[in-house]
Amino acid sequence: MLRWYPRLWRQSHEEEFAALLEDSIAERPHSPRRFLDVALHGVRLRSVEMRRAFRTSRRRALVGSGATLAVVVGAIAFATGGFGLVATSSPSKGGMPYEPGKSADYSSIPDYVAVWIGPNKVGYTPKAYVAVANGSSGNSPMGLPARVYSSNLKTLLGHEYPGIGFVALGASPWTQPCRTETVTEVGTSGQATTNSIPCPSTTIVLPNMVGMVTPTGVGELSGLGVSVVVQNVHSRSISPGHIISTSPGAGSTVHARQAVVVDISIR
Amino acid sequence: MTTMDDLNAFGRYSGPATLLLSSLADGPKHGYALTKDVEHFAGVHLAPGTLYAALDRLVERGLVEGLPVEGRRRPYRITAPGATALREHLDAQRQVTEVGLARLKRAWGTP
Repeated sequence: MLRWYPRLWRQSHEEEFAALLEDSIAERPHSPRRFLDVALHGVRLRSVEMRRAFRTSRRRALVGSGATLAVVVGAIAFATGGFGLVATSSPSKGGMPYEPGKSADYSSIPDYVAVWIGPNKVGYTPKAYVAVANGSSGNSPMGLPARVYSSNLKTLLGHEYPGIGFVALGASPWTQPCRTETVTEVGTSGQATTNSIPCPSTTIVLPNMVGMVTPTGVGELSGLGVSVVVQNVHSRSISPGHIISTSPGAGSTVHARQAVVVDISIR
Repeated sequence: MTTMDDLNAFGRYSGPATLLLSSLADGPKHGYALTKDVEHFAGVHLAPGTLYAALDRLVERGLVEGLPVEGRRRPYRITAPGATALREHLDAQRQVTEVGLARLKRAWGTP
């Protein structure tokens, strides 16, 4: 599709425009409207280029216009043959346990959940990306869907997390975050039960993640072994999709599998 | 120096230009983030060709600047002249909005 655009434009824009098209196609694979929109603007830019060329050299302009005409004719021929121009590979692995839009108990959500864009399941992502543990407001801990842009998913799909690999649905490498203290609960009968999930003796020093792109940072933390909880925060200084801070902060010593809250900037 | 006419001079792209500047007003974004953000706050879908045509014009006039590419995507950021142009344009639009609504109310009553 990009070939309609003049070479000069493509030199500065090709990569980013291709990425935008891929994101757009992942969301809606067949869109005649998008097709026409991209074609029209490509041709328009070419015609501007042609008009400039015409002023400098008539012969070159005629050759250029011939080439443009061929491109346009070819495009129309291609279009009438069908619209799906770019194929994206979407892994699909089993049923979806968690439906975005419906609340679910955060602890019952598997660590890796299927992600849907429209009617298509496009892959898997850590649950920290699509659900936020809501313990701070004092309400019941229900998971809230967090807005996830497709461009974020592209970096997550098939992403090899260090120490984890690409995790299949339902198979979480981490069970629960450990607690450093033992919790003693007294039941209605007066009987005391002690719960503790002992932490492994290994400790980790948290690296500085401030400003990192979210998937990279979260992947790195998961690879270290900590259990990551992502919170979406509006930020004026850190651009969307980047990490604002971690709690505990950088340089803190934590036990492996301890829960670490990562604040990420989101629009 | 930017004037109120700047965004109107965008012709058929003045709508998208205003939407894009409003989106960028609270932080830099790349193309897809811009698309989704505009959809969310304005309910308008900007197709890729239209989006980049408007973005190119904004960059040409110094109202927006492109930042270095990260992960194949280039974030764009509003400039100070861009913020000024947006504010002036929206102030003018608000005036029209208020006059239009007031006249409707007087002549046609409140719905």
